This record gives sequence, C-alpha cells and structure tokens, in this order.
Amino acid sequence: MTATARDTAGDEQALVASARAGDTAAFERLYREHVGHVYGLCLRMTGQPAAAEDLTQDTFVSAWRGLAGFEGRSAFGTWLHRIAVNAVLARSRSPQGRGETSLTDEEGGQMDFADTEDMEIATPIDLERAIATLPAGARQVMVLHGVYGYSHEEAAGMLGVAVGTCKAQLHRARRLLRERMRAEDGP
Amino acid sequence: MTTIPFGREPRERDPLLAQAATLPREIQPERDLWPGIAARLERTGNRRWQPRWPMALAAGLAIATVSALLTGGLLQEPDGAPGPMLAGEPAAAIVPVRYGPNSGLGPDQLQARDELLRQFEARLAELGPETRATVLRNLEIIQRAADEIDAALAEDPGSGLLTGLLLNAFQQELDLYSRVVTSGGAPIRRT
Repeated sequence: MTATARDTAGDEQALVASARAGDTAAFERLYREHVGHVYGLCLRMTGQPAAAEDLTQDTFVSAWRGLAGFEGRSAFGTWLHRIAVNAVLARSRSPQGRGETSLTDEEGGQMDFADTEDMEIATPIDLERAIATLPAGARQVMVLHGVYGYSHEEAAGMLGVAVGTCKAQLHRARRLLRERMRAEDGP
Repeated sequence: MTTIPFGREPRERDPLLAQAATLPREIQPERDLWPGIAARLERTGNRRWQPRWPMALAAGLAIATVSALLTGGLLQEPDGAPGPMLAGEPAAAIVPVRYGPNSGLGPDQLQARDELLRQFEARLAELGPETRATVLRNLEIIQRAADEIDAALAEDPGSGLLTGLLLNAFQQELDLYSRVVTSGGAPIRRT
C-alpha cells in the first residue's frame, strides 16, 4: 500500500469513527466520496435513474443506521456496495421492480470464448447502453463481475445465488451483449 | 519452453469483459441526493443502531420463500380430494394479515382483499391438514414481514424501498389466497 493510499484509508477510518459517533458532517464527506460508486452500481443494476436515486438514498440511510455494526473488516466502500446490492434485490422483488428476470433463471453452460476472440471492441457508450438492456439477472452479474471486478464467488455471495448460477448468468449476458451490439452495427 | 496460458482470467481473454472493466466505476447522480438523505437522518435523530431496518429487509426478502412452500403443498394435494375436516373438528381460525398504520394501504385495496379472503376460506376448508398448515405458516411469514416493515416505516416513512417491500407483502398475501382458491380448478373472480 502506498503512503497516499494509507493516508486515504486512515482518513476514511477517522470519518467512519466520527460518523459512528453521530457526526453527520463526517458522514456527508463519506457520502461525497462514495456516492458515485453507489449510484453507478444502482443505476447499472436497475437501468433506471429514478430507481437508482431512491436506492442510493436508501443505501446511505441504511449505512448510517448500521454504522455501529460496521466492523471495518472490509473496506467501507465494499460494505456500502453490499448494502446497495441488498437494496436493489429487495426492490426487484417489490411491485416497483417486478417484470425483471429472476436470477434463478439459469441458462447456458461452460464459458466459451471462441466466438468473441475476433469481435471488434465496442465503444464504452455502446457497451453501457447494451448492458442496460440485459435482463435483470444477467445484468446484475455483468455489472458486479464485469464492471466492478468482483469474483464469481463474491458476486454470487452478494446476490445470494450459487456460483454456477452466477457463471451461467454471465455466459447469458455475454451472448446477449454480442447479439445486441451486432444488431446495432447492422448487416 | 513455452508457457501455456492456462488459468488466465476470463476477463483477460474476453474482449467484452475487458471492455466492461474499463467502464468508469463512478457515475454521479444528476442531482444532489444528500439533502434528502440528511432529512431522513434528522428524522432518525441520534438513534444510532436501528435494528428495524435490516430486520425489515430480511423479513421482506424471506417472503420470497412463500410461493415455493405453498406450491409444494398444493402440488401434493390430490385433485378433488374430499374435505379432510372431521365432523366437529375445530379448524384453526384464519386471520388475514394485519397491516399497521404506516402501510398506506387504502380501503379499496383492503376491501378487494376481503372479497378474495372469503373464497380462500371456503376453499381452504376442503384442503388436507398438511396443506392447510403450510398455508397458515405462509400467512405467518407474511405477517412477520408486514410487522417488521411497518415498524421500520414508522422510523423511516420516506423510504421507497420499505414501502415497496410492504406492498410486496400485501401482493404476496393476495397471491397466496389466489393460489389456494384456484388450486382445485375453481374459478376466481378478483375485483
């Protein structure tokens, strides 16, 4: 860990300690530091800006209330991500979030990379837009694993599904992304 | 000696995953969300650890098991099975889920529920004791969730997530009644 990273981590620990003691100004600084990550995660997992705003607010309110239970074993940002994912999942099971595909909808099998080797790299905007069109289960795994870099084990744990389900959803996500991005390119 | 690229991370091999990993991890919301958060924190006051919220979340998520439990019970019920209740045997009273003052459910919604409840009670009397017990257990799960969510809503009435969870509990209750009513092929009329 670099000196700068150590300082940053130390600053964050101090802010968390202050917030835990009831200092809302310290908590606001934590919010400013992490809101982009949390909102980005919620937006990509739901595909809906208004829902992502609600979920971001719920995540920070829930974090404030649960600060006493945050033991610092993981980074504060990772802890926030877990709260956000729980909130997204709860919403997807609520009437507002209905109509999205279930994570238990398994499809696909072994990972197969042969047909993507020659694929032209899409622009980030194309890919971002295509991810937003994925069914919920495939999108959530693609976001956690593909964009945010969580391992299959970590993503499966956050989503409450089996590792095999997580891999199958990623396989499905990749297949759908290829189809949709080729369709956008035209014949 | 060549090195076989065995065990390379899938995201290194797949251009799509490699591209996804370069997407910015931060996206700023279009408006400042802090004022709304601060207002909700202020309503919370200095109560530091509120066990209600996570309990409500867990209870709300637990409702997802209701459908699976019920489906198993109904599938085992013989088609057209005779009423299992022996003469004079007292049946456990069916108490519909009670929603607290923070639920926001309107009289129209509760009236529609009560109409469905009457069909549900008639059909339930025809089902076997195990299925009946499963149904009652499901109602208890929904009741616990409704209680937890209502208590959490009392502390945080602005939460769209909690409101959504409570509506989900209500919907699950209606689905439970509907599935029982239609389990014998009986028509169902919902208003």
